[in-house]
This record gives sequence, C-alpha cells and structure tokens, in this order.
Amino acid sequence: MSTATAQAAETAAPRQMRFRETRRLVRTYSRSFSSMVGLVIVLIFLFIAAFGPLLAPYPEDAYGAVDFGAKLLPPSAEHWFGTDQVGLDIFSRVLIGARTTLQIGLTVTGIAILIGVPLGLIAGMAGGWVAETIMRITDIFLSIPGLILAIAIVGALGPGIGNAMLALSLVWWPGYVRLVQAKTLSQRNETYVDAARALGAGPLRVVFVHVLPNCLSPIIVKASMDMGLAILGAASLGFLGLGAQPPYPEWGAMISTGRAYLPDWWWCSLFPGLAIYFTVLGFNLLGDGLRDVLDPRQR
Amino acid sequence: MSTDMLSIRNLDVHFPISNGQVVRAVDGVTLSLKPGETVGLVGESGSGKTTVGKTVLRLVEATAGEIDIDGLDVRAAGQKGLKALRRKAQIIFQDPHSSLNPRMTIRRAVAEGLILNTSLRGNALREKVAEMLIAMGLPPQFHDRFPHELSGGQKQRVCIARALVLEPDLLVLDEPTSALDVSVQAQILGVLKDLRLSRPRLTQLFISHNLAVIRFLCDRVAVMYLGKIVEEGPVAEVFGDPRHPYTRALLSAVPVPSAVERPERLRLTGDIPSPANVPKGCAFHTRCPIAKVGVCDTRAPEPVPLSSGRQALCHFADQTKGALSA
Amino acid sequence: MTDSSTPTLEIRDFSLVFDTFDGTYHAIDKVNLTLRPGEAMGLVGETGCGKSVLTRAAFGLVPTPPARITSGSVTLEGRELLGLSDRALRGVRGKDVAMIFQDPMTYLNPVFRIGTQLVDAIRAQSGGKASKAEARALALEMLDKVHLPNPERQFRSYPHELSGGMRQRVLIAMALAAKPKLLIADEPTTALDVTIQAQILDLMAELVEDMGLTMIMISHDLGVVAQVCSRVAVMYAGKIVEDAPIRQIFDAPSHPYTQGLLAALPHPFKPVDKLASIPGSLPDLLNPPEGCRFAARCAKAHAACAAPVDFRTVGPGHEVACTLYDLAETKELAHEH
Repeated sequence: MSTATAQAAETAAPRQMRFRETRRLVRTYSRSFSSMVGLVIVLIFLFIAAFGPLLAPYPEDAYGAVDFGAKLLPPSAEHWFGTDQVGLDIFSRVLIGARTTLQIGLTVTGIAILIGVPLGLIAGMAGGWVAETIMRITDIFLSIPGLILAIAIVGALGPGIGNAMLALSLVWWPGYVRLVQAKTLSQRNETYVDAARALGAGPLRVVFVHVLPNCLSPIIVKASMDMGLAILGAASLGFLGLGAQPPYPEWGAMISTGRAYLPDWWWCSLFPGLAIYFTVLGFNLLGDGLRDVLDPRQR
Repeated sequence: MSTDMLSIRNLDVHFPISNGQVVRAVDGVTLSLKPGETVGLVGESGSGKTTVGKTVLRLVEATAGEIDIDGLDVRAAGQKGLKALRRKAQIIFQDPHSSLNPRMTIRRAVAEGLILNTSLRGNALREKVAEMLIAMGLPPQFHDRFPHELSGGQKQRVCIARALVLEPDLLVLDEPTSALDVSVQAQILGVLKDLRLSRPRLTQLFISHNLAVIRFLCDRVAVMYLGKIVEEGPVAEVFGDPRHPYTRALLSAVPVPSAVERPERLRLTGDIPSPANVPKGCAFHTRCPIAKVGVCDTRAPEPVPLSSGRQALCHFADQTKGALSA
Repeated sequence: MTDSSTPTLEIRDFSLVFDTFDGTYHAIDKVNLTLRPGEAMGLVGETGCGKSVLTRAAFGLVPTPPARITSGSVTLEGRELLGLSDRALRGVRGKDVAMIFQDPMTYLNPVFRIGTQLVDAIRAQSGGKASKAEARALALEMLDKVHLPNPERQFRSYPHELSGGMRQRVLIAMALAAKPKLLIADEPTTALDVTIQAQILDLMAELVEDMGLTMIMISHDLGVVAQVCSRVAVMYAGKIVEDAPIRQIFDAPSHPYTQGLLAALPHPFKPVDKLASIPGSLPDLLNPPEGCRFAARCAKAHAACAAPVDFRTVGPGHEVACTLYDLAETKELAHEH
C-alpha cells in the first residue's frame, strides 16, 4: 500500500474539532442542576471574598468598632442580618468574613497539596522501603480523626487563626498521598510510560511530564471538595475558641460568640451559620460535578 | 558475531512471585537478527515473547545471558550506553491508545524522543517531526491533535513515527496490529513492509500471535512456548513443514478465511501450563501428541539442527520431517 | 429444513438510533435477517459496524434512552419481541435466547463456586421448578457435553481457578442448559489463545452439528466464523451489505466491502506480496449518506449508489446490497479485483 492511499484514507476521517472534548465537558457539567447550583454558589462566594469590604454597609464593624447603642438589634432594613452583642452589623461581618474563609480554604488545601502530592508521587514511583515508610506514616495520620489531631496541635501552638490553618494543613495532606500514590501506581504501568522510557526519558521526566499531568483531574476534584471541608474545619476550630479570636470576622468564631445569645437573639449565630452552610455546600456540589465530568469511573 | 544487528544468547528472565516461586518467563533464549532482516517471534500467552522484546530494550532487566545490539552490550550499558541504545533500538506496542500520553499532542509525542536524544530544537525540530508524521500518512492538520481525537490506525502511525524519528537500526514491534481492525491492520502492515524497502538497514523483531501476519512480513520465524524457542527457521519452510509438534498445532489452529489447502488438523488437548510451574523434561510434553513416556517427561530436549538454518527443540525433530505436515 | 417452517429469528426492517450530544447517530439502518432452525450464522464486520448493538437491541439489552428503535420488528418463533415488557424480555433471555460473550470472567461471579452458579442459573431458567438435585445432574451433564475435563472437580472450583478456555466452556454449558431456541455468541473466542480458540470453535461446531443448535456468531474475523457457521452476513456502518453461504463469501465475494475485507487479510499458508487496504473510514453516522454507506470508499461507485440500495440475489441464498449487479456492464466490473 502506498503512502498516498493511506493519506487519502486518513484525511477522510470525520473532522474533529480541537476543543470538542472541552465543549463536551462543559455540556456534561452544565446538564447537572446540582453542579450548576454549586458553581453559582462558589462564584457568588468568590465575588464576595473579592469585593466584600466594598459591599459591606459598615466595613469598620469588621474589626471591632464597638457601638453599644445598636447592640442586638434584630434584622431590619438598616441591619439586614441584625447586630451582635457589641452592636456590630452582622451582614457586614459575614461579607468581610468571606475573605478570611477563602484564605483558610486556599491555605489549608494548598499546603496539603504541596506536602501530599510530592510524597504520593515519590511513594508511587519509588516503591520499596521508601514507599513503605511514607505510606505507613500516612496511615498513622489517617487513623487519627483529623479534627481531634488539629485540636491537639492548636492546643500546643496556642489558639489563633494562623495556628488553626497550620494545624488543619498538617492533618489534611495524608489524603493526597493516598490519592496520588494510587494514581501514580496505575499510571506507572501504562504503556506510554514504557514508551517514554524506551525513548530515553529519565525518572524525573517520567514523573513530571507523563505521570503528574494525568493525575491532575482527581487532585482538582479532591481539592474543590476539600475547600469546603477545610472551611468547615476552620469554623469548627473557631467555634471551639481555638481558631480566629473575636472580634476577628470569622464565621465559626461568630457562631461561637453568638451561641451565648441563643435562642432569643438567634440572628447572631444563624447568619454566619448559613454562610458556612452554603459555602461548604457550594464547594461540595462543585466537586461532585467536577468528579462526574473528569473522573466518571471514580464515582 | 558482530555482523548481527541483534544477538541474544542464553537469555533468562525470571520474575520472583509472592510465595518464593519463580516465573521463568524467558528461559535460555538464543536468537540473532542480521541487519535488514525481519524476524517473527510467535507464541501464545505466557510464552515470554513480549518479555524478550522488552528485555532487548532494557525495559525489563534480564536475569542472565547476553544481549548485543550492533556491538553494544545492552545488559552492561551504563548511562551513556543506554543513551546510545535509545537511538539504536526502539519499540512499538500493541495498544496504540495506551502507548500515547493522553495529554500530549501527537507533535509533542513525536518530538519527545528528539528532545531527549538530540540537540535539535525550534524550527528544525518542528520540521523534522512534521516530515516524519507526513511520511507516516498523517497530514499537517492532524499534528496538533490529541490522541483521543485520532482513530486506532492513526494512533499506531504516530507510534511508528515516534520510534522511527530517532532513526533506529532495530525496531521491536510488540503485536502492533492486534488491537486494530482488519482493513486498518492491512494499512499498518503495508507501512511496515514499505519500511523494509526505504530503510534497508532497519532490522525488525516482530512479536505476534498472528501467524498470517508473520508470514506476510517476516523472513524468519521463531516459535516460543513457555519461555523457550521451540522452533526456528525461514518462515515459508517452518510454516510449510513444521517439525515441532507445537508449531504444527499452532498452524492448524489458525482460522483460515478460505477453504484452501491447510495442514492436517492437530488439536491440542488441555491448557497452556502456568509459566510459574513449567512441566519437567520437555515443557510441551503435557500437551504433545507424540510425547513418549520416559523420554519427553524426564529429559529436556536439546535444539536439533535441521537443514537450511532451521532448528527444533524436540527429541524427535529428525523423525518428524513431512510427518507433521499435510 | 423447509421454507415453510417458522424462522427461529426474524428481524425485519430494524432501525435503531442513539440520541447523543452531537445529534442523532444512526447506528442500525433497516436491517433484515432471517434465521431458520438449526442454522448457524456468522455476523461479521469491523469495529463500529453495529453487529453487537443489533443483536443486543433485538433482545432488549441496549438501554433506551439513549438508544431508540425507530422501526422494525423482531420475532422469535413468530412471537413479536419489540414492545414486550422488561419482565417478559428477561424471561425470553433466560430461557429462549442464551448469550455468551468475549470475556467469560466478567459473566461469572468470582466469589461463588462454578457448581453453585450453574445450579442457580439452571433453577432460575426453569422458573424454580427444578430441584437442586435435578439441576445438579443437568449441570454435570452439560459440563460433560462441553468437554470440560473432570467436571466433578471443576464443580467445586472458583472461576479464577479455571483457565480462559475452561471458563468459556462453563458459560456455554450454562447458556445451553435451558435448551434455548437461539444462542448468540458475541466474539466468544477473541480473548483466547490460538490453540484454545481452536478447541472452543471445534466445540461450537460440534454443538451445531450434534445438538442442532441455532446460533448467531458475532465476530470481526471471517476465518473464525468459517469454522462454525454455514452462512455469513457482512455488516458495514449499520447495514447488512452481503448475506451468503459461507463458501460463497470466500469463492465469490460480491459486495466491494466484502471483497476489500478478504483482500486485506494476510494468509498463513500463502505468500502474499501486497495487502489491499480499504481507503477512507466509516461514514459519519450522525449524517449518514442516503444511498450506499460504502460508496465513499468504493472504487466502483457510480451514480446509482447515491440512492438507497436494496438487496439483489446473485446466487442461491446469496444476496448483496450493491447496484453493480443491476446492469450487464457493471456486473463485469463487480467481480474485477
């Protein structure tokens, strides 16, 4: 057979567009109602995190401008979410708290990825005692409930928003090690890794050019879910008094303070609680949607 | 002998498995390929044919024996030697889909070998890659596509391009057409046959379970069973007058798409034994229709040289002339 | 076999589409197929020709949606199957139509012994009427029929302890225990080694001959089909293009696609210098051509190919969907290759 016929054979193939796959992903994602709800919530949240201080009617209230004259006012046109025990506008504090929350989510997930992904790659590629050591340490971390470990760490370091984030990051990475190690093990046996080795690719090139890019989808999915969970974790620490300290505008700490005024002054706790609820829900729905699109088999 | 392009001597590849047992995937294989020759390596699952191919490329480490590619001692090669090996020898795998990184355009995939092994960069690199892809029948509008946007046949062309762009002298082909449809297989086989004319020095080790494909493409054939080469010789002679009963059984098992002449039926009973538990004596005696008690189940046969460079690993290879064919 | 007997399976004018993101995919288009009792027919075609979809959809095994049957009828011994409830179709599949597939391991439960699975399947097929002992006796009889060595011992084995060939024998035994009217074998030997494939094909040929089994064997390999079947239907892009006795397909292939397929095959016992390949690729079934679906790749295509093509009879029991057989001058062209 001549090359000419082959060429004719192949050009006649149905024309496929470059971004066909992307378009299909977008369409699959947008078909699911809950995924779209998640995306919308997350977008609203990001918008508020970016522009919160500009949107807030009383931005100075975020950092403890006390106004006892206006304390514990119920929701009204002036104070949409009411005011707290020192007269701070809860609506303003919830808006401005979004940025703190985003910061917590990003920091915790980011550090967890920075620790977990390299360890997972090493464990997956190296094998032998290196992998054993990494995986057993990971198992130890995974066997202790994360929040309890985090409480212990914050207890040792002292309460505060920075220490809370640090503690959460330290308990968050083992999940990534497990995920990436499993994925690496399966990628390592793919034929294209063998093909790359036959072309002379060294282990580093195999890891960064061939294995890691193919692990990205599950990492993205897990990260988007973890954003929600990390926010919940930080709020829990805040609620326990181990995270952000009042009057710092952090949702968990706000619920904690507001708890003393339940049930008569319910708005003190309810609105920060709803903010946490919707944000976590949003990130979880987003993660679910992304998983359905990127990793249909892992359901 | 240094005149051979590839010479394998007494190659053993053993894999330890969990309970202290050892899988003798390749057991004392000796095979040599002259420059420009295409040799088929045929066998069923567990025969070790794929392991031989991967060991030649050092994708699997040998346990014992020698592998020599055009004067390069593959097993002893260090960093530098391996680098030389990558330019001398390349491999093409069975499943073109899984042998391409799904996140690389085919242009990148073909360029990778050049980036790793040559100083070619920029436009020169781009041109060389494009030229190779076009020569393999993939016009420029395909070059920026991802593997999933191509058909199976197109992907296999990419794999061939990726291997050939390094201008190797030895090409190991591991079932390159088994995952393809018949009409696409014909195209790929055509490409490979054309290569024999356009690159007379290119030596091909063609691993397959498909005897018809081997017959079409190869000069010589080596038949493997449970890690050993049981018969070897020019393809027309081996297929025309098989001297090892296993070869004959294989040939008579091929479903032939016509009512034409074919060797008399020889059906094997039973299954292929596990390579972790190879029968004593001749490995084939458990399924062999001419096995003799007291000989085949106790004594391992030595290769029996036959006419015209053929040999068979059978105690009775001398006596089976014509008897095993139609 | 008389022509007046009711066909075991009759598929008339069967069309099926898939509703996808990109539009309506015309997977099967107006397929006609008749299978008489005791006949073993091969259904041959390349990836994407619709051979598996056709046989699965006919017995309600293709989920709707995304699939949609747009026309036609499927009758099993005169009984219409399209439009039956899921429940009724399950009954048909368990008892009247049996199926075996490419990978036997997928269809055996790894945690139960072979015997347990066989006995359960047989009792389910009988609608719970057979006692355990009866089912066991029948299971052993069937294992003997498919020449499974040492059936008593294999009865107590787990699926992973059996080789691929033995597993396929077990599945054939399971399929045939209910004495089905029709067996559908979908690439039953594709996953097996050559020598094992030969054993299984021998077994299937024996069952067809001795038990009078009626069978459709789906394969991409004309050679495999030739070992077992007396008739072949060749499918291309959702249509049957040629339907002929097996010898006719090899001796006088009539559709250019069939001719192309045969010319593309290397031969183990004949030196072949060049393999013909079929240029081009499958038509876009989202917008299939109105006429012959092979025309775009056919060297002998002419103006008449643009209109829908019906079957012409070119020999005894030999039908082909090609316009080349209409006119005297094109007839000659048809057999040039």
